Amino acid sequence: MIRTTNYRLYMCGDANLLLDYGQVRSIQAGVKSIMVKRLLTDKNLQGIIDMIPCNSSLLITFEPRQIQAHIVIAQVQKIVEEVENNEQIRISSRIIEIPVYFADPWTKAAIAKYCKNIKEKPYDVDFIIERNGLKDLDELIRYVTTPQYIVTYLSFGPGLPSCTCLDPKYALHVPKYNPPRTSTPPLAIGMGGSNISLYPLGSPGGFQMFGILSAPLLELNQKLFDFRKTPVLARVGDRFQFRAIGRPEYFEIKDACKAGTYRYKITDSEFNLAEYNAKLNA
Amino acid sequence: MFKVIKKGLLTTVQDVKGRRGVTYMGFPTSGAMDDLALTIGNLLVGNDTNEAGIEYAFCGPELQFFDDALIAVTGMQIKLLVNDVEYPMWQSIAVRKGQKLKIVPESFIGQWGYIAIAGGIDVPEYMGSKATFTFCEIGGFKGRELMGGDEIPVGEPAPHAAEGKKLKKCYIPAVTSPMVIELMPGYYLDFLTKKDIKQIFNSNWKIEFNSSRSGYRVSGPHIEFSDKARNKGEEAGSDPSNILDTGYPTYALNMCGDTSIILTKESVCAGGYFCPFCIPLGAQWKVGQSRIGTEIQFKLISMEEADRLREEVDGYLREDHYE
Repeated sequence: MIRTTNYRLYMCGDANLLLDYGQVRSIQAGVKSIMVKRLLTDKNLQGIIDMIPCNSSLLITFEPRQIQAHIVIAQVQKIVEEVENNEQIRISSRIIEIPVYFADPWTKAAIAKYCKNIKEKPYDVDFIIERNGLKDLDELIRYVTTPQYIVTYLSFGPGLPSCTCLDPKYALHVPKYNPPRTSTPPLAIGMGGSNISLYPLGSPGGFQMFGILSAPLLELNQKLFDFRKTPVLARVGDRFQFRAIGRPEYFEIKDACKAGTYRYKITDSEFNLAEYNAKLNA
Repeated sequence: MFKVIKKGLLTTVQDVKGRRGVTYMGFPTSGAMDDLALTIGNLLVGNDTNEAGIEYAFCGPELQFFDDALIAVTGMQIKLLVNDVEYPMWQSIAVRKGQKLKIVPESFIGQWGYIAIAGGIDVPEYMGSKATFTFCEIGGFKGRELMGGDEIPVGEPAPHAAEGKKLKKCYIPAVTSPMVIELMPGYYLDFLTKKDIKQIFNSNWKIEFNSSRSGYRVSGPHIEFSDKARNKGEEAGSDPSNILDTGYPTYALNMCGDTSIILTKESVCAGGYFCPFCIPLGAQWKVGQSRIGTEIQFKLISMEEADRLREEVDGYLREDHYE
């Protein structure tokens, strides 16, 4: 293990290297992990198989028959030091508008089923409102839809984006389910700790569900425009701008998806860490 | 082409390497649970080492061939019958048009078995691999387990594919009881006390019955956890084994409180529990032959020993292992 004040490098087995910025969730560490992945990808080293950015870490999988462990460590450490000394960390970061049907009937039904079969608990939306001292659903909607959320990982399930609030004024926090649910309605959106996760397929989960999406996050058949190059909508580093929709628009979007015409509102952009920090401290 | 007469158990199309470079999007690699056995099967029938074959667990399928075919059965120890005549495993065998291949469970040794067919399984790739990932219904044959009545196309055999190629008996991968599986350090090893580590390497671990391609649950000694694990603050979670969500290496030993999971071919790609140890590449096939319900032991090894294990496994690519 290589240990410095700002990061650690762990060789895991003979085919994985973990870059870890520490056990604290921060936009800084998340963006640095993404930047390291970008720079390592640009080096185009033979034998690097995958790089998983996740919160404050980056897991690099490699083929030791093609590239030796000590070379991976040396190359990664060089890039990490470069990023540490870089005042202008910028990553490409599209802004994607995500329509959300807040307090929808499907997640409500799933919660009722959990209460009946597993354990009684307050309705997730009420729980989030109460825990954060908010007034009502309208205020929750305002809190979730005003700031942007940055996607810090996609690896918890196929195409499953997990994101963190970029504006501390609107940051929300809520404990997860205990015990977790064995299933989640597909396209549910939930909050756990200070993260928001969006479930493309439904899966077991522990986040407090506050709504449901209408358009897919994962399209394995790749028929819609936004999925023509990859079945996964989001990229790590993208920013989500959530927008509240009502029941009529929910069904309109569903129809457009079925007809194959739906397109997300996506703006190409860049996330500049120094500018972000300056704005925060202003 | 061949037809599935009886589907066997957990029978799917798998290749050796699975899907590469997509774990960051939450897609596990998939691929053979015993990558060594399928590699050997492919070599026996003259295929590319990564070619797709049929994987099954415990109980193999019964297939009927519509064309002459060259096959080899490797992995879990079973009785192989072609038209009710017994044939050996680890050898390329000619099956004539119309003949049936039957796999009969024989012992309780091993768990995952393979049928390699010269020409490979002719199904489309999804995201760069023919491996089946049933959760998303992608890859393989229609993204699912094989069923009775399925008709599966086979590719063109290589010109050098030949009947009678055998793996030398001395090289048949050894399945012991208990299986001893090598481990190397992973991350957050300092969440364990010295006593924990000593216990991990001096105990028998049982493979629980709720194990699958999504992970092998193993029960071992009680873990104390170090002060570091207990006093790390609420950010990651309240359990000493909790960490901030981090990418999971495949074949890590993932510890969640008192239960541990060996992450296998379709485990989740990231999560909130630490991975203090990882199984090196050269030992990963052993998980595929550690039968659920049986016990395993772990052995801590160095990078040099891991290199040697890998070289041993790569030895199977050489002609001197065959006759």
